[in-house]
Amino acid sequence: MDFLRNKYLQLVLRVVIGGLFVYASFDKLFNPAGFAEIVRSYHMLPLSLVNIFAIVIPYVELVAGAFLIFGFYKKGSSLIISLLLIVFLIALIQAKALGLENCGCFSIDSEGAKSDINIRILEDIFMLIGSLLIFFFSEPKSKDNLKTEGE
Amino acid sequence: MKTTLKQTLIIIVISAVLGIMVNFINKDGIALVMENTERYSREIENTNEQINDNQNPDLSNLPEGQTNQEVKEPVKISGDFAKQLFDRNAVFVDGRPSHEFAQGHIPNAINIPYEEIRIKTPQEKEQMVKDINKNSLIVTYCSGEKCDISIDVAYELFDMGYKNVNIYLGGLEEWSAKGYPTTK
Repeated sequence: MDFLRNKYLQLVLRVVIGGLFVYASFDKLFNPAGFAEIVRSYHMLPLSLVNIFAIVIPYVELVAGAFLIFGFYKKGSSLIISLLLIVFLIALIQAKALGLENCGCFSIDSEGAKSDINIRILEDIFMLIGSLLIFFFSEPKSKDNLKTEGE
Repeated sequence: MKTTLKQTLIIIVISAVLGIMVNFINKDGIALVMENTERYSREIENTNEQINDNQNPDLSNLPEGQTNQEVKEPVKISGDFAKQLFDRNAVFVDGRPSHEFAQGHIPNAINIPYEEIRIKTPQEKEQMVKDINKNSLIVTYCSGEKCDISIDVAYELFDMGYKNVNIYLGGLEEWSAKGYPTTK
């Protein structure tokens, strides 16, 4: 299993997954109202929590994604990204069951909403595997970990 | 493990502070708690309820594009009734985002994207609907049965004092399927 610790494999995983999270956050960062509507349409959260979720989650994606790219707080950021991906996976499966996939009306980006939900579920699973590989196999002796441990 | 939890917590705190601060500064920012909670939950519960009365309405007494002055809650209507109202020059309001509106809509419909109007101040809202008479017969719609912004826009208009708002749940999908006219 040593190849999983290979620093180039780890670097590629971090840049790809971190990059996708940073990219995915942009659309939502400055359109909290649009994103809140999408969150509401999934009917997964109590309404009182919808807005605060829509305000904070894009920044969690941005910060955790950026940290992952730069290899800063690797354990923490990969854990957060894994948890987010699990939540998104549940949401996607539920959306599929509810038949939301053909309706662009909830989305800030209607193209994205109309894309095949099965493909998005697959993407989610691949990214989850990748981020778990980072969480479990990333090099523990990097600078930031030493610094944190020394605190 | 302790380090991991600490890192996780730090990232979440940074993000929460950043998100709330930017939202506060952002002119398109939203309230931390969604408003009108009661109304939304009521509407969501009622979405599957049967389409309301007025299947065979008597339109003969209605003045052109106008109705009685009685204030009533928005009413869900069927496709055939929507078409009758269309023929009576009712004002159709499309609640979808403008880029979807541009791809095709019911002729003469006015686009009031719900995602825009819901975050406006009362003055800005009035500005958005200034072309629609408060006594007009209004029909709101969105893409189809899987969306509920037709309901949201209807209540938004109702709250602003529109007296006769109807919700066409079948939306553009049913409208096109019935072969009724659309335009770009």
